[in-house]
Amino acid sequence: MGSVGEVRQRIRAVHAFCSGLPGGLPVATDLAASLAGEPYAHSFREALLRAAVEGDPLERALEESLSRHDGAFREAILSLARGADLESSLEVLRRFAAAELERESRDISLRVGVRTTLSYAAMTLLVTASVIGSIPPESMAPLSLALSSVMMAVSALRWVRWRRGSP
Amino acid sequence: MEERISLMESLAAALELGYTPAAAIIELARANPELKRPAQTIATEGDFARGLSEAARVFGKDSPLAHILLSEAEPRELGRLLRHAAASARVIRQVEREREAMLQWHRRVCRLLSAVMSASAVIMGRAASLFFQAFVSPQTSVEFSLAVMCLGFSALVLSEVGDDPRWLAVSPASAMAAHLLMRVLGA
Repeated sequence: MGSVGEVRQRIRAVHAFCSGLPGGLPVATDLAASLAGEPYAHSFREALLRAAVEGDPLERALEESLSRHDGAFREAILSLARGADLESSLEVLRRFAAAELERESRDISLRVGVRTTLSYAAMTLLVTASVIGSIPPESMAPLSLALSSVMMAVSALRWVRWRRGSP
Repeated sequence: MEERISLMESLAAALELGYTPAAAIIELARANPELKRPAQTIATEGDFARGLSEAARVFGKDSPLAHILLSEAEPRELGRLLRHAAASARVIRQVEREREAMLQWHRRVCRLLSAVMSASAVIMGRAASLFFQAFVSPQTSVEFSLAVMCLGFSALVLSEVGDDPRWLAVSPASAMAAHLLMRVLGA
């Protein structure tokens, strides 16, 4: 599952690469290495270095240095690198971004589903435990307060991360 | 963002006409006050690199402008590069809009989930309380405890989609509504 800003990072990397394409593959790779976030920028830098030091063609160097990333990202970059014309490069960018948004949406649905199920399960478990006498009903209040505080703290951190990730 | 893209297109057009990057920025600054400062740095101080980095700030931190203009290509080629960068920025702007719409949809669902979760927790708490009052002690109630716990769960669900924390108020409001409903129904 991707983190909050991961999808944007990936789209940003492909966008940077696509923006530099009219200047040729080295310009596109250089632009992506400067503008993309980590770990994507590192892969582009590595490809430039590999091409410069080992004399590999840049396309092959890209293929190797992007191998640690997932298929969709690699495919998008490599299809741009394999000489897509300007109009179709925008189409590649558009399709990649659409697929990324769909993936992000699916991830969010899954995470929300898991959280909701866990919430209901936890509440049902606690109520059942207190009804059958496994935990005294008086301990429900401190237990709820403790659980709620932990979840509030986790949520506050998430909100901060969202705020940092927003444009 | 739209203004930035239009500005990038104007810059591309100036470069395609044969202006050097420095001259293009100075020319554009006449009609665009936000470029006045970079143009001044280039024209009066003669510091193209600093002027360019100031101009790049106008175009946003993700803009490839500075990288493109600092390359050694001829102005028409730079113009072509910038025009393509502007076109891809338009694609990204559309993607950002779609993403915002997608997140907005998830946020609405999460608010609804938060409200339903809180109401059902209070109803479950009321049922448990009735049981305790009948068989354990007439003072025992777990409704409030469950409502408090649900507030934490609601925060967890709402923060999952980066919703405004103020929507957390939905949870106690819904819990209160469920509590009142139970009272009205005589439970």
